Amino acid sequence: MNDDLFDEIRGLQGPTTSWATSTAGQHTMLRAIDRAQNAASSSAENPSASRWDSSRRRVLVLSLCGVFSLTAGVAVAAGGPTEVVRGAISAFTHRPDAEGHGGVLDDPVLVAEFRTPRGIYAFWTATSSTGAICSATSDGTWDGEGAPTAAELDGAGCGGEVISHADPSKHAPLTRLDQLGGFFRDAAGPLIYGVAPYTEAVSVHVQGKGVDRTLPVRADSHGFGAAIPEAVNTDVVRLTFLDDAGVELGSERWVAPVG
Amino acid sequence: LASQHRFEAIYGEEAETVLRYLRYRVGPDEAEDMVAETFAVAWQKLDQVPDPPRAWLLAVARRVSANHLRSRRRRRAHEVGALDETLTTGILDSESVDRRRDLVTALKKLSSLDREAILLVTWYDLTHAEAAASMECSTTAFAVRLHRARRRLGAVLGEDGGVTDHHINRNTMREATR
Repeated sequence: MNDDLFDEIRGLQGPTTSWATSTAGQHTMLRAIDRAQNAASSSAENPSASRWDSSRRRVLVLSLCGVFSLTAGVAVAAGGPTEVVRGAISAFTHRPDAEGHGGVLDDPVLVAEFRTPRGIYAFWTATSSTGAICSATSDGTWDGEGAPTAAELDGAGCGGEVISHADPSKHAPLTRLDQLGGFFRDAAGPLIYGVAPYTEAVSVHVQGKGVDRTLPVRADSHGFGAAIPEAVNTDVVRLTFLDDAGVELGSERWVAPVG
Repeated sequence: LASQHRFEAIYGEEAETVLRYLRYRVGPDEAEDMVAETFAVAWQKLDQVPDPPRAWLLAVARRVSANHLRSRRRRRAHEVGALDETLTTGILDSESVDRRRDLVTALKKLSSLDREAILLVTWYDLTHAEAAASMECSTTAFAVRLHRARRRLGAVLGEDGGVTDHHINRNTMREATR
């Protein structure tokens, strides 16, 4: 309507703020999707629900195909995170249907711990004297304080197959720590985590459409990870690993799995 | 994946407008939660979301906030609070501040529905047809409400505003035929 008074009322509003692409805005979007999925979860025919369920699952299932196991109900020794994670992995490997690591498990190390809209996402790895690679995950169930309980670990396992970071349609046996993790866009929002393939790496630069940030690489596990809500519009990011002098050690292209 | 991309595009384009609308309706503390609720409906009914989606989203936001705010007094308090916030927006000379205060005071004196009719076409830039859909009434009924609201606003401000019945009727016809 062409009206001076209405134009004045329009002028009462402040400028736009790009709230939708801010962290708060992105978290709100993920809450919306989560709510919709929860509301529809009773209906197996709802296409939104099935689409989201498959996204939600891929973080866990595709990380360690075929060997990841829920640990709820498994009794493990009390103690710090290392002991609990070790206990969870050991409990898993003693299951009659599990392959196990067949040796002595080294102390688990934390690869990444960061907050997502679902809560704390934490990922630990442990190597075995036999060369097997084991890991455990907590996805939104542990509050990050003290040690997680066994029930707060969503999965633990050893060996198996993992998807390729560059081509999620390809699987390969898990033989190296840096095969773990990935770039995922799921109910917890876009997130990335993994293990640097270079022992000298102290940081990793993550770039993609709307993404340009540097993550620290942990000295103990060489792990890194973060929620990257700004990656909501891209399926591909490039990771550049840097040493303490800022020299590039190498780069990789990571593709988010679909479905 | 195409559906997810469409949802994200709609969210990127419209979330801030929906947030502003809900801040006006339910206040800043609960607006983001209501945005999540509104877009949860959009996700579930993505096939029914029209293009452009704004009027549809604001209609959903209106229903979501209405369910949430059963008390009319409480809703009015939020609306008045949102209007007061506009007084602190930007750097203005004293004359502009006085004029802005007069406008806000006048808007506060309108009924909630009259005020909403005006804000839908000004703050949220909806056409009459879209605003009517958002308020779940006919385009003609909306145009009549807007005209009356505009006249009441002018009266409170002590201004005629120059909007004649003829002008509104012509406008109504144009919008109704869209």
